Amino acid sequence: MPADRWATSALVREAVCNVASWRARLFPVLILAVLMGAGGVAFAAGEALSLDHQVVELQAQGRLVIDITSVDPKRPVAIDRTSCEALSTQPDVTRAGLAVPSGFSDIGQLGTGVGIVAVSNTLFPQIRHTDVLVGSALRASVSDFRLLMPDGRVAQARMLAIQPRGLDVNSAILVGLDPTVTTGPSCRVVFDPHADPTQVIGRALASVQEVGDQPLVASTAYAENINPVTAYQHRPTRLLPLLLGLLGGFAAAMVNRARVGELATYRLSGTSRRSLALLLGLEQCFLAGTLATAGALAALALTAYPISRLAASLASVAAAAIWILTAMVLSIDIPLRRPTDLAKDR
Amino acid sequence: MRIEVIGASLRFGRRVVFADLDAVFPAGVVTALTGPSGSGKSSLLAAMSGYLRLTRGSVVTVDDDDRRSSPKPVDVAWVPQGTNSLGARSALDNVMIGALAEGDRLPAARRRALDALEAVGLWERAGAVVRTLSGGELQRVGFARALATSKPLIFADEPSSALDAANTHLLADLLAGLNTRATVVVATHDPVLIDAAHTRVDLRERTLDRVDDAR
Repeated sequence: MPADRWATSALVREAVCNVASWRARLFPVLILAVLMGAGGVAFAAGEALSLDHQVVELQAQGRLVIDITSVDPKRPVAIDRTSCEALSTQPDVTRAGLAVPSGFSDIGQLGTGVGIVAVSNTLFPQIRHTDVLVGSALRASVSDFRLLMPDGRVAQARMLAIQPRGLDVNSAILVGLDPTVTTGPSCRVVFDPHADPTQVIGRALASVQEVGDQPLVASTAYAENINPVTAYQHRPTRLLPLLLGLLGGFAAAMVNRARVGELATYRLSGTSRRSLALLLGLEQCFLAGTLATAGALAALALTAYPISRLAASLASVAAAAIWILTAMVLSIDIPLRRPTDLAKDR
Repeated sequence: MRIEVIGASLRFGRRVVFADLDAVFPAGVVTALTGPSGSGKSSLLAAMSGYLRLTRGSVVTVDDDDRRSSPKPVDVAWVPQGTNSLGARSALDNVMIGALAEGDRLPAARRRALDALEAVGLWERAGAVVRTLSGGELQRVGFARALATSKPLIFADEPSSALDAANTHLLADLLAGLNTRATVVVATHDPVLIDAAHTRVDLRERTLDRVDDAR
């Protein structure tokens, strides 16, 4: 069939009018695209937030908190302070440093037999701004207060938030580790809660140096059966954007089938098969583009959620691509049909 | 543009729709293509548009310079049976489609569409959403869409099939007063439209029965 002379800009106008007019048959599909785009990202954000809560909760129970110390508790080791504190600069390590138990004392304001632990400021950075950190189990009425120490001096004290199991400091007071101390019996490491324990723990253990030839072990208070991050990465719902694209494209194709009588109007007015196919493609690009835009905007709007804006936007673009592909494959016969048959198919 | 149908036969499987049909559709007049339902009126229109291939025989279009060629869809503006239209769009938008398909820019297409709407008496309804128009108005929009193009052939397939008597008479008046250089063929078995046409081709008789100025 000879080509028509539709200007591309005129076809774009037709596509926009056929989709964006609230009376248009495709308008509900446009609303669907907005809901799918924003809803898909919101769902992913909800899942990410749920994972975040889960790993933070598990870290409070000691997950990804390790104590690097001697294999044999009866033979203490001397761990090099520099190598231990240097762990805090490694990727996936939140904080790390020495924790040196320094005995027990009766402290009038806190109780009797309170444990004192000297800690690196790379393990507890708050110690840089105060004299003493007080474990959360000891007192919680005020956050900053003056504390009368056993040696008679008055120290500035600050309450510490609840610390994960494995650090074992919630019932102790923490003081800064003397700069002259170069070794300690225990190096404690808190990893990023999303890190992979099978990789980061071994790497940390290999990075710590011990003065002597004693073997070291990394112990954790939390025994893990299922890695929640791995489970999250392999969850079936990660394919949701593709499913949404498939469903959206299917819905759009079904609406196209219901409007072949309308589409016949174009063919019977001198529009070629190619131009009608282009018009259908433009309509689907507009719909799928709306889905992708809604997804990207939702990703930008959900600032409080722990999602990657880029990844969420790319997932929306993938959904849009699947949408276009599905809709066009399921509608490709429409431009190929005889226009007089299309006209009768109302 | 004149249309000559020469020894045309069409069959779907074992069913013969028409056979050995000869007919001439003169240029620039309104011809009624008549016959009962199922006699092949729509199929012959489709064949004369180049949408449908005949089983045997041929259709030839002859232009003003006596150049003969096979029918091309691009030469045809089609007024469909019933009410095909873009329901959510205005009458003006619907009529503009043909002009836009011919490469007109928006302002030019709008002008041609308004002229065509005026020709069918719907100028005042140009902005109305097509879904709100009556069946008769919708059919006139279909004619306006055809008139807005500069196509040499206008084919209307059972244009009164969904119309009441009053609207059929309005359509007949429109056909009778149609001021166009195009060759208009109206497939119908409605006596009112047949009377309004200038000539007639009856498929059942398979002969050309020309009625000069039927009115």
